[in-house]
Amino acid sequence: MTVVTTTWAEAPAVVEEYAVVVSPDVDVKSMDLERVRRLFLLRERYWRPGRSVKLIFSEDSVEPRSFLLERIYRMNYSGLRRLIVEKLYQEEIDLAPKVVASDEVAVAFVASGRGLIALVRTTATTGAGAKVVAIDGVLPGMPGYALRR
Amino acid sequence: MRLGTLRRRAVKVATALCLSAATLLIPPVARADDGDSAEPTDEPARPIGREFGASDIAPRLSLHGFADVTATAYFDDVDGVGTSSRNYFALGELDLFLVSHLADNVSFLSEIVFESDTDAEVAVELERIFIKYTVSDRFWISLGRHHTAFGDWNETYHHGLLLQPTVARPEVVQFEDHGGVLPVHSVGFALGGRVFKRSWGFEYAANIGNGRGPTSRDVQTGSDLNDQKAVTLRLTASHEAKGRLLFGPMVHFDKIPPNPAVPGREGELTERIVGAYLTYRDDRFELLSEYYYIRHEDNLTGARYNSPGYFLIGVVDFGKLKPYGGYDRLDVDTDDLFYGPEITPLKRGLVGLRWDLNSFNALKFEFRHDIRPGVHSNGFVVQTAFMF
Repeated sequence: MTVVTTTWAEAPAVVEEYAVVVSPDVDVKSMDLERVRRLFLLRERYWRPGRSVKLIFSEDSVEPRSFLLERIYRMNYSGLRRLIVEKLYQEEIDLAPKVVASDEVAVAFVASGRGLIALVRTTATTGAGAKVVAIDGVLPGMPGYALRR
Repeated sequence: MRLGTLRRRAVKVATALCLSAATLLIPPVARADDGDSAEPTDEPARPIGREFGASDIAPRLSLHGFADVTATAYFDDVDGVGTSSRNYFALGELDLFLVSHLADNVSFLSEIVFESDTDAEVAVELERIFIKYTVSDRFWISLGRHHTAFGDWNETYHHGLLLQPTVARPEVVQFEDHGGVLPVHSVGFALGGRVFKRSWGFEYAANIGNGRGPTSRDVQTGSDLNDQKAVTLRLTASHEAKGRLLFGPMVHFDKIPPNPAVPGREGELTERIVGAYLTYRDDRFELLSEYYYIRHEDNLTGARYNSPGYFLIGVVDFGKLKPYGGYDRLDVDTDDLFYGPEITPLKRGLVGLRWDLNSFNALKFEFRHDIRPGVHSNGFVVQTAFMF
């Protein structure tokens, strides 16, 4: 969802808003930002016993200066590649995350899969079956939502 | 412990086999449409697909390798003798590392190292190999040969020099066959888990294994000379804010069998190691510090030998350039016959510059000032470390 905010003193500012989407079997409705970072940084690997966390990236989300890289990973694409290699090497993961063509495809996969999570533009979640997770109890589009820039 | 030294011919065959397996390579971040043609097409990109049968007839396998080449120039000032110099090129370890996904909660990892020695022969060493069962974040268990849960360095960097900031491992966490004082490998089982509470995390890790052999180089891989198992426990607290802070203590207990071949080592040794570590990482700065206190008590004579060691390394991240500096010290007790004469005390100050040419290749330039008993040395080291 793209939100346009206007104040009398400023020109309109376009705000990019992002949503964390998870598969329907993931029993999570809200999470804090620390947990979002832990999941994407592959530090927290299981939703519950026996059900691992599987990351899906869209091509857009790993572009230079993407929201995912800047705000969640706080690193560039090279850093992300290095992180994945290190996690494999440290036996924290045994498969690299998948990258799909677009946010819409990522949402479709998350919606049809199990244990999947992705960070996508809010506009890509419209009408899709994936669960949108509230961040600190706030859903996208609501005042105070954290995943915006 | 070395599994065996093979002639070059045998190594060539083994290398060829491993490289053949590279056809199964999975890129670090796997593109879901990697299998599509490189030719432009108007058709929409197909979502994740899979090669027919790939996950039905065999588990998915990821193979990577690490290697390095190092040039060293050392200038020694030997007390009462004078100065001398050493300079040489050295091939590092060729490290083939495989990870396989057997099931959602079962995985396999092996790390096979080819290492050339001064006789131009190549040794093959199985550094890590284990199968891991993960129940949840709170509990996993694995069986095989592991890197022991000492501090952060030993379980973060392993054998791939590309991943570590400096040219070499700090002296106190050196590998057993490189003159190390700690039992950094453990054959047996390992277990661990972690829990999170907002920005805090708490983690435990333990090893129960065969323990050490009669000398400090020995890792008992196929048997154990005594019934007592070596036990290691590490606890970690972590905090996330601008950066990530990790710290915690560790302890290790073992009974080391006698070594009748060495006069004075007829008795069994009780080994106790206590230590602590603190690591901080953010997008600009990294601090790595670990301390160990190793005590050996001869159960026959009652003699005690104490060998403390520690290191402190700081790294500043300017993107591709990462200057670093640190202090590395090992006060090994030279009367401890378990270690042998080749392991000597060391005080080392180092400064260096790491230059990441890309994600998979780094150049490191390092200056060291070493003080060993009777010898002061200045060393200049250049290393290229890479993965493939």
